[in-house]
Amino acid sequence: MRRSQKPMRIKRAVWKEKMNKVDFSNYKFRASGLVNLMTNSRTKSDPLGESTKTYLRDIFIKEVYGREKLDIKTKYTDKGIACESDSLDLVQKVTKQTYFKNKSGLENEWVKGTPDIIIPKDHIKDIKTSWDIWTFAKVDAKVASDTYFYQLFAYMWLTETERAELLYCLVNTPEEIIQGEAYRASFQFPEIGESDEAMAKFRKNYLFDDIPVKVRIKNFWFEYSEEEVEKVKNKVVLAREYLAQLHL
Amino acid sequence: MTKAVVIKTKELSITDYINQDAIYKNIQSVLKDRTPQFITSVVSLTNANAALKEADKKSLLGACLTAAALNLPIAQSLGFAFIIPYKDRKSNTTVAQFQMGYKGFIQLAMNSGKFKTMNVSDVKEGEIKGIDRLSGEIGFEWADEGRDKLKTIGYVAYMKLINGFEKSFYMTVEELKEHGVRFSQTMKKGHGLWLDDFDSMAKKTVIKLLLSKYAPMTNEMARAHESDQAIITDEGYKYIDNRKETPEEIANEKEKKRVLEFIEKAKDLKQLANVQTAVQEWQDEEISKAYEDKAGSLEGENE
Repeated sequence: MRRSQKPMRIKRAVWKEKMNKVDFSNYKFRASGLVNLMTNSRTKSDPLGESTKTYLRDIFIKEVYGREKLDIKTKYTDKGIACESDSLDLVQKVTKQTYFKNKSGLENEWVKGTPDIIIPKDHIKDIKTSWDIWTFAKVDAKVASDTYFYQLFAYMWLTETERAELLYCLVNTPEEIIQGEAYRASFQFPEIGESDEAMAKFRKNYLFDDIPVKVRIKNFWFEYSEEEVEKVKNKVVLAREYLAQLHL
Repeated sequence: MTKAVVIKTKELSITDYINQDAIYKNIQSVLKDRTPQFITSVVSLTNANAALKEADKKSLLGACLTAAALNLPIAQSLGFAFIIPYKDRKSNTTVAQFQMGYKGFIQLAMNSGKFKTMNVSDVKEGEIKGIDRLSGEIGFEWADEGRDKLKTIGYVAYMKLINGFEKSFYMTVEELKEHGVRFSQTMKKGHGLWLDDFDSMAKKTVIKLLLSKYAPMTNEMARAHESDQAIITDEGYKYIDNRKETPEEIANEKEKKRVLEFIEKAKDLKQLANVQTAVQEWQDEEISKAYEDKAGSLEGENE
């Protein structure tokens, strides 16, 4: 008797024992990651979509198995963190207002986060430090909104404010990061390590003191909306359900 | 049942710490009849430096013993070896770090009996006369009169061995500054030996690099290289100054500086109130004290 040519379907036994018992039914999403939840799915039958599922899988692995992808932290985020104060200084120079970085984390039943600056009962400000002049030049209202609307929306929600200002700043790169970049670049462009002129040209791409401060800031305003609150709540519910049934 | 005895080293004075039986015996086993002289120099070193008095005694003694084992005096004024207090933010303690002086490296090289001569010098503007492409050696024409007034452009170390091998090593001032920034956390923060005594640190750097690249390595020299800039712990050498700061640490430090600067510059209580929330959120002793002091002095002005 001839065997069936159909490939055999093997039902995989799933080991459902998890390392950390995490109750995802009240999981609070980070404001900075909310955009990953809010991307539109391509099909109606799958309301979460593939990229959201990937994001949720990463959360699941981090929470249950304590592993976090290293590539999440890049030189861009390193500069962003290291230069927070320099960007605040730049904002201060331009607006003539002094702001200090808020250090208190906030949360409600759905999301959590730490806005950079809170002006109580008025608005919040969040500051982004651009990597270089080219990334700064690319920023426009669409880029700002696509990338950061939901983060700032969550901050407005958490602080019960109606408006949010997103500020992009172009500030000098810390010396340690420039040195690291120069070292990496010197393999492709050996002259960086050999000629002072080439090194000076290289360094210039990371330092911006010669550019007037006013053009080194771009700002965008966002507004709070109840409609968005409902959208976010719906997605959070779906995401929590998805997280609860995930396994390795 | 044996009860563990915990000695709170931080609360003891350096003299009391050294005079503990086990510690004293340990020192004596290493230094023998040099022990009393060593103890005197450790006590006078800490008396002259308030930050070292606060330092963890174990690391302080470890650093001093390393210098003694290399036969180098620890009196800072002599420049052979330095014991530097260092605030370790991770453990929130002050520890003592051992640093070789350039004279220390020269001394160790000469003690080895393999060197005919060894020297280091600053190089002034106009003293470089060309580079021999084949040997890589730089030709110098040293200025005589008015040399002190000329701008220093670099530093050169030179050695000649008994067997005739000779070599020099040159670095520009810019290269040395970059080296300082890269390898010293304290220079990045605007203080420390690299800023207080650039000349000595530059001389030490060219000598250290010349020796590590070209000189025959003796046991003492290897130990000096290894222990330079180290905190001497029970587990071995710990290089705290070379530890790269995380972006979060850099950010915290910068923001703390901003807050402190704002407090210092505040002209009246109304202006000072702008930083009140930040002061509460920071929960940092230095910031809180600066705020209270400033508020006190501004209130005093108002009365």
